[in-house]
Amino acid sequence: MTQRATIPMAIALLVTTLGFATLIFVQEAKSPPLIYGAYYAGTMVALYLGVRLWLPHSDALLLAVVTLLTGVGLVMIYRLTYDVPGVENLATTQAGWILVGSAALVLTVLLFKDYHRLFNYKYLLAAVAVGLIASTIFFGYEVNGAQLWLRVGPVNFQPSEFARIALIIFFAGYLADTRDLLAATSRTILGVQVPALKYFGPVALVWAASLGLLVFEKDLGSSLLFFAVPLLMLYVATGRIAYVILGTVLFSVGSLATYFLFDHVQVRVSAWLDPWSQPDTGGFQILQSLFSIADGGITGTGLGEGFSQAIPEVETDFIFSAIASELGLLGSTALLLAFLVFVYRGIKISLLAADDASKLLAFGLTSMFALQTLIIVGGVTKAIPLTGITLPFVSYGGSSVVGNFVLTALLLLVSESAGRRAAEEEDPEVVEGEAA
Amino acid sequence: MLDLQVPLLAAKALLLLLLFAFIYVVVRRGIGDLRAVPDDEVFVPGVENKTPRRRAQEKPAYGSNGRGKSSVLVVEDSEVLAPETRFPVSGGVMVLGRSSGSDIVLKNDDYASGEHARLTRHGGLMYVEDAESTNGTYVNGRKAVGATPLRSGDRVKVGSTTFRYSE
Repeated sequence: MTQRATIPMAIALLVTTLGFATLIFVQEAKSPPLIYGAYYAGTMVALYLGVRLWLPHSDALLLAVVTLLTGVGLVMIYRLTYDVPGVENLATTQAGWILVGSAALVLTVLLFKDYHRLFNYKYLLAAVAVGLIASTIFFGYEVNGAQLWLRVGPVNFQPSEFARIALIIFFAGYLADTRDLLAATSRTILGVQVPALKYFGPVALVWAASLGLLVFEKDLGSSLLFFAVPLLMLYVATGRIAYVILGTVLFSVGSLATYFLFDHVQVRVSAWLDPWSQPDTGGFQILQSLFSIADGGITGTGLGEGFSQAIPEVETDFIFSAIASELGLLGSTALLLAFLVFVYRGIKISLLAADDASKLLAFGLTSMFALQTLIIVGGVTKAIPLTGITLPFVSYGGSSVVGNFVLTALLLLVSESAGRRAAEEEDPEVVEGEAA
Repeated sequence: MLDLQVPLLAAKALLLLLLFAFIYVVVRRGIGDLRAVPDDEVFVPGVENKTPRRRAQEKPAYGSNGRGKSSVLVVEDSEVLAPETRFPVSGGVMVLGRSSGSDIVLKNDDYASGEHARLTRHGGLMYVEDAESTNGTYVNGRKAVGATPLRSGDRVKVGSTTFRYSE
């Protein structure tokens, strides 16, 4: 599991530097406060060194990918907002969030070095997660038609980003305890084997509560994640295809129900099926996105040359279109490959982890990361109906960035314990010596 | 205009180049373990040097691939087999069970099914999988659900027999 990543880290930071340099030189953009760029590079290097020091057996390659993704995101956010009145400070804000995220990563690593403790609090975490999601109904305020935001002092945040991680810890801890009981069942309803309510009850309850609340809050992107990730974890834990079939049926019924219940779902679907019927209203965003991507071609227009600023919400949900526009097919493919490497390492960590709970935790976190990328990239390229969620690490968004840093911290912790165990098996004395 | 276009183009090309350099380096380090050479393939030294995960370190990567390694199942405790009997585990699929067609035959073991468990090597790891036996297969005392990776020292229980797996 042990992975060093000094060269990838250096290349990732070079990409960011070159991106900013291009923007400043060629576009005659006003120089951003350079000190922020230095802060960013310093943060990521310090983070890498810290992880190498505290978690010597962990998979530091994850951090190199995170550095590339946040760096490309920063460059794009800066490029898209530096001359737009009202949002010209977005890039520096994002740099600040990356700093907060790194602090969150370090805190998680230091506080939960023995992350198994987290599983002892799984019911508490589940309650906190559902509470967080529910809190926006009472205390939240609306942005773009969905009431998902919470204001705490000067900071606005989206609680569902953190609720996700808490829920995955709950599912991992709970399923690891009961997976045999859930897998070994003899009762059937309509030919489908169903587990005893006693064991399946808590899973179903938490699942239904979080989903119901999110659908009620019209957070469709998150509902999709909250639906699919526990289902995948259930399948991985029990190895029963019946759960997947049941989930697919439930998904179809649920999608149909939401389609008829909510206007904005109908708008999204019709914009997906035929954006040309409404080019100035519902289809405007997706059409602008497609124009931008097409304009990029193979190698892109070059940084600062595209017209992707015409897409509404380009710095959050549609940042991938802007990248495809200015870095082209090649650049956006490289970005997707970086995501793929992250997911591959995540699954590998899950395979090598020692116990069921760790395996399920790593798998759940990774599959959430992968699905989120799939949903938003699919959405902006018109492969699937658009649901507004962020592209992990790349999009502008404080809660999303911090949440994903915490996710990375947990993956690093699992990989550390797997790597340490592997090293012990090879050479027990070395590791004992290190510990002493 | 030309003197502005040239550096712009160069910067653009360099950026794409750097992006792919990143992907290349990361993939070489991160996905090298996918390229484990199957056991029955001829070992080519030149190839090996291109895909190590921790070449710089003195220790070989943990069980990263099965090359040159011989794994064995050693009988620890059994009603039907002599203790300390060694069964070398080769590549491919090996079947453990009571039927005489099995690779490791547990003859007259009332607790074993005809085809009880399968051993498969995949991606450098040995996996044991229960073949829908009546009594189940246990790894370190826990019932194996789906394919379970084995590590050196793990105890595998099939029927009345407990094997120790070592690499």
